[in-house]
Amino acid sequence: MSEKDRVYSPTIFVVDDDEGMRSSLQWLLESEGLRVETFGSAQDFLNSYYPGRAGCMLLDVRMHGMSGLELQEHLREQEIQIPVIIITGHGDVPMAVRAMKSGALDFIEKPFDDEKMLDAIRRALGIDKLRRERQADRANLAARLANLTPREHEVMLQVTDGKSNKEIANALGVSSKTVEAHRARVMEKMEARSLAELVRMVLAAGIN
Amino acid sequence: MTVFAVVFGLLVGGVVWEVLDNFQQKRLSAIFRQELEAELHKRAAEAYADFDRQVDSISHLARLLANHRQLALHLEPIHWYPDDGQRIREYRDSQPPWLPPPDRWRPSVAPSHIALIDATGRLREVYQMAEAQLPHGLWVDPAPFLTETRGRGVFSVVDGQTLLLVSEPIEDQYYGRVGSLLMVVPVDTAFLAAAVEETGESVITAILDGDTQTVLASSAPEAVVVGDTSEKLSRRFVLTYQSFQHYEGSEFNLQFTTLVRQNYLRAVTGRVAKHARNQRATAALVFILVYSLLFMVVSNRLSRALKRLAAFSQSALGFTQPARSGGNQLLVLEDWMRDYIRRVRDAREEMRERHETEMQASAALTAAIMEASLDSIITIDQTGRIIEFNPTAERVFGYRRGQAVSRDITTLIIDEPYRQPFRNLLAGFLETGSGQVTDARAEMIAVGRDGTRVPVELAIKAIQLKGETLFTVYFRDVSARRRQEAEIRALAAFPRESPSPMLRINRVGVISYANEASEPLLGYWGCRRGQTLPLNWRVRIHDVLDSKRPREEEIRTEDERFFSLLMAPIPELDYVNVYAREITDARVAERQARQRQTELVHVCRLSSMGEMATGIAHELNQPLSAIVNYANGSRRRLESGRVSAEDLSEPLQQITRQASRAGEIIRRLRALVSRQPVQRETVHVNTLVNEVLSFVDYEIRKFGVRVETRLGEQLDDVRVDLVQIEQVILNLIRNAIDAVIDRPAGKRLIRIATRRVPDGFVVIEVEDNGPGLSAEVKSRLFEPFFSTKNTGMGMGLAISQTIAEDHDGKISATDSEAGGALFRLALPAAGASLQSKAAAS
Repeated sequence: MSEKDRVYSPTIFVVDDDEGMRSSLQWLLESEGLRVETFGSAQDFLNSYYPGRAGCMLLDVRMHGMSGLELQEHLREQEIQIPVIIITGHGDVPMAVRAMKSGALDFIEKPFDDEKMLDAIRRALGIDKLRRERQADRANLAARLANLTPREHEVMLQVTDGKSNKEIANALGVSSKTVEAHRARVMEKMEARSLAELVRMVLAAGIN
Repeated sequence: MTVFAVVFGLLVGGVVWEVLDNFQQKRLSAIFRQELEAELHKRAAEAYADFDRQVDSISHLARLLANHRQLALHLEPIHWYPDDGQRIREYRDSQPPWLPPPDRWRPSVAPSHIALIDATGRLREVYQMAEAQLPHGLWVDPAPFLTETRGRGVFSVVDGQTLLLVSEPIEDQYYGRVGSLLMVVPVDTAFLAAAVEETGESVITAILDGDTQTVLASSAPEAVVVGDTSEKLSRRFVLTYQSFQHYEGSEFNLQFTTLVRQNYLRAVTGRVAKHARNQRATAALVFILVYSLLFMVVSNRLSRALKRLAAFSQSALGFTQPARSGGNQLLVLEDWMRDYIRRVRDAREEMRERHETEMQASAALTAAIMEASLDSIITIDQTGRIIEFNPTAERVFGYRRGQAVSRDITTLIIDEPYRQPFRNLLAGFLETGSGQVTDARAEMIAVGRDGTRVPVELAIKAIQLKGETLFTVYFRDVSARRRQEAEIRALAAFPRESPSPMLRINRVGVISYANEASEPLLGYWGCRRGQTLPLNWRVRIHDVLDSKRPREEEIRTEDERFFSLLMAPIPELDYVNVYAREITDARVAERQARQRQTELVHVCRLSSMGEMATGIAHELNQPLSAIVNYANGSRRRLESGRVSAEDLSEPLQQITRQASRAGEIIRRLRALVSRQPVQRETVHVNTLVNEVLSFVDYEIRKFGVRVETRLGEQLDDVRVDLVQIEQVILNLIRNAIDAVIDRPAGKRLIRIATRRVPDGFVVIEVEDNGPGLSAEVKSRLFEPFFSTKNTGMGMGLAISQTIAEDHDGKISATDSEAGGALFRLALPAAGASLQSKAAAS
């Protein structure tokens, strides 16, 4: 495992109202060294989960009380972005479709093919990890952007828009020397090694 | 009687007493007086003997003292010389030396003085033992009082004192006579008392002076005073005199007198008389008693014998009690006898007359019987010759009596083929000897004069007379009976011709009759006519006979024919008539209808099956998936080698558990699908409800329907076909689910309740909060192919109602309080159902 992976320690949240199903999934997943937490109902899960927790969720569509779809709905309303793998019995295709539309990552029919299941989980965890990294990058970028002065911010936008220093100096009514200085400061503050990188950052930040 | 006996006894006793008492009184008195006198003489003699013995003992004492060595020693140095002037030596308080020590010689009657007198008759020494002085006469001159005879005292009166004087010669050591020892003993009260001590108090002894007849001394001075004369004494005493024969030497004429008190004698006499009288009285009483008893016993015996004789006569001869009925017959014995004899004679006469009358009456009666008898009665002798021919015989056979008598009965009346048997019959009587066989019966044909043949039953009775045997032959015309029998036989053909089985079976189960049509039943029982039914049917026959009530049974033969049997008991003849009816067609039709219904139910079930298959598949998926997970997890661990055998125990257990769960689901599925033969089981309604709820569990969860159950406790079981009734309940619940499906999620409610209602029914209510039933729907609810659902067949409730009715139950629908519909399935409780069936039968 890479060093990055060790930092990322995900949990598999199993939500199923069938006790046998829960513990058998736990047994299966733990054989792969995964950390597993099980919940008998959607409500139990909601009571103990907080958004910062990494991992993915195995969700039974049919449950007493709040169903899997309802939970999905709820998570979306709460803007909790945890990858959801729907587990379903045979013949629940319409419901699976609904789940996928609601943003489920995958759906697996019971009984499970263990490889397929683990693949799905790995994929989900990968997505989660990626999502979390992006989130971290975006936060980083935002912090750097916040360091810029309004003038530097203006200059950065002009630069990434492909304008030359002169054009920028004209537009801002300053000398091109000044523009050059601002530009250098922006590159420094944004830790951008090249213009292209700066452009990517601006795009990522979505501020253009 | 008793009183009479007692009076008689008393009378006899009184007479005996009166005669014997006087006579015996005198006799006894005389005898007693004689005896008394003899007794008195004896007493007197005894008293005298005692007295004499005492005198003797004193004499012996005197001799002992005189010859004692002490005295001899005393006398040794003394020499008394006549007129030596010596004083008389007196000893008063101390004992003289010439006497032995006092303990050696003290006598019972003490002497008053003992004196020593010398050879010349002078008093020399006196030992005064009593108070009184020696009488002067003795003092002065004792010589005359000395006796020559040794060892004999003399009685003497000296100075008015009666004394016994005993003298003994005394000698010195060398046997030289020195003088005499004189012992003076006063004959006083003490003396006499000592003498008569042994004779008894009733006797007083006294010494009388023979000349003056006065008392000198007595043993009882207070009764007999000294100086009393005998004459005076004889008033109070009986006196017996005795002279002192041995003291003749005395100059005094003294008499020893024994006195017995007159009143003592009288008392004794009186006592004896009284005793004798008591004895006599007792004797008399015993006499009275014995005589009374004897009299009573004898008279009772006699009386009883007479009474018995009377009673016997009364019953044997028929006259009333010959004499008085009560009391003692002895008293009236003579009258009784006379009367009795007369009555016996009368009775004998009367009986003779009565006997004659009876004989006449009997003869008349016999004649009348003969004449009036419905049977022909013909008397014949042993050769068969007719002797008597009664009017009925005349009528039946057409012969006058005069024509028939003396003819041979066999040829006259008996039809040709029966003549020999008839003769044999008669011969049989004669062969077996007289008295062995007295009657015989037979059925034959008789022929009348006009040739008509009459079936008869004849009875022959033999009559033994002196020297010969007669026969009375009774002919009974049985032609009427024959006709009846023929009719009965014709009637008996009825069941034979019946197309339905008819049988008659007796109590022990033997088929006594079975008509042609009964063959299938006989085949069913596996027995033939005259054989016994199988045990279970024997029991039924028995029950029917005991209960006296007809009973119906239905049987199915092996070739699929059905019979309804009515067993009708005929208790008075102890058999059962069985009337059977073939109902094969009806039964086959019923069975087909039922089969069609079963099939329909199954179709219905299969249709609901399809709908439920998804749910069940899902359910089955759960445990299967779990099993796969456990297996895969375990495999992975094993492959990576990161697991111990112990770690695998739990998942393996889980696998087992989940597999069982899957099996359970499959079992339920099979129960739902399988088409079981119609069979009823006793089951609790709550069990049914729970089972059905497990079938629809998936749907309930799927649609989020809230199910409230209110299952009653202590409900009676119901006896139902499980599959069918579960289908009904399933239909009701599924209808309810369909009804609430349009309600928003979370508001879908079904209530299921079980409870008991009156009339022995248990109900299951399924209630929903759906849209409810409109009036139109309600009226057509149970019609086939009526449905409110788009996909419905419209068969569910129709079939459910059919099933319910098949179980003697009913489905009804009303509005629910929850707003929807309420369906109520009512089923009879198992117990109630049995009762109603019992009542129906």
